[in-house]
Amino acid sequence: MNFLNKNHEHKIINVKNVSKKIILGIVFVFATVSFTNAKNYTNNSNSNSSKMDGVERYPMTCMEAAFKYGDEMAGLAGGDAYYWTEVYYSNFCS
Amino acid sequence: MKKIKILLTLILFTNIAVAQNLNGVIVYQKEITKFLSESKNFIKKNENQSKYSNTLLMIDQNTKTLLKSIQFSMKFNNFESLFKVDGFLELETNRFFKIAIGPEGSSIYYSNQNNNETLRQVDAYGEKFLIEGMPIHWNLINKTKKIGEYTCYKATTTKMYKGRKGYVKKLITAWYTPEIAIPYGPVGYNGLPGLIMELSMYNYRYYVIKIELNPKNRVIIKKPTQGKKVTEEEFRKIGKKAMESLKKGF
Repeated sequence: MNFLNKNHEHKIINVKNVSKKIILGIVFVFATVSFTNAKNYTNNSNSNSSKMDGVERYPMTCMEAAFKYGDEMAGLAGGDAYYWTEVYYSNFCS
Repeated sequence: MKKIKILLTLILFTNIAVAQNLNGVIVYQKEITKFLSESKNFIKKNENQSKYSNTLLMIDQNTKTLLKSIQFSMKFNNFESLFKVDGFLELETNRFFKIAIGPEGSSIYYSNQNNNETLRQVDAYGEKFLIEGMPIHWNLINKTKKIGEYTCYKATTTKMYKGRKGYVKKLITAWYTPEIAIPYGPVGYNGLPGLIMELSMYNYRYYVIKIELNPKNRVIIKKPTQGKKVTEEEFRKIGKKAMESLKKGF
């Protein structure tokens, strides 16, 4: 009797160990898949916003480029830097 | 003898009357003589900024092409003149239009010889301004050249420009013809003893492409009245403040 009871307990412990491993495995797979999808989505959205109408867009540095253009044009073509900066920004950054 | 005298007097008075009633439209075009992408160290200066240099190349090429279809007209009558770009919706919606006409070309210039008034109407920093002009001091130079059928004389003046290293003098060269005895020219450059046929300043040049004197329909000039009245210096200070706040915002 005792032997039978112990054997039954041993089986329950084994089943518990197996389910833990399976659950952990499933969680790991889900996490990996979700992370990969999120990464792909970010890459795609970045590449979509970087090129439009044959004009290169700079989501992070276009304002800096506009200021640079404003300074350079004010020196070359006169007028205030504001005019050239605004023209560059409104036509090539947005 | 008496008859000849009367005839000569009549001719003289007719000439004076015609000269006094002179009105018309002068059409100018603009040419850019130096582009940013054509500057000496352009490639070297921007070797790590290929996106910026590609955009500049694209801007310069498109501006060059667009300028061929942009015209500026100067209407004048006995004592007034008005200079502005001939805007068409198709041109104005082109994103290179404002670059092609530049800040000076996007203004309206009015002058009145009777009271020596000169005004520049400009749309800037989100509002309209009426900038009062200063008289221009010309140096008349004894040098001539032919532009079309007209003999033109050279005149120069300077304009102070505020750069990064302080004030810089910029030379402005005009070629005027006394054969058309009106004291007007493009972008507010008036006061010479003849029409300005060509004007070079900074990196651009305005030149006459059409002269229409005493057209069938009388020229009507509307003085610009909308805008806050400021002096050149006040306008420059407003621009400086606007630029500073724009830089702070980013």
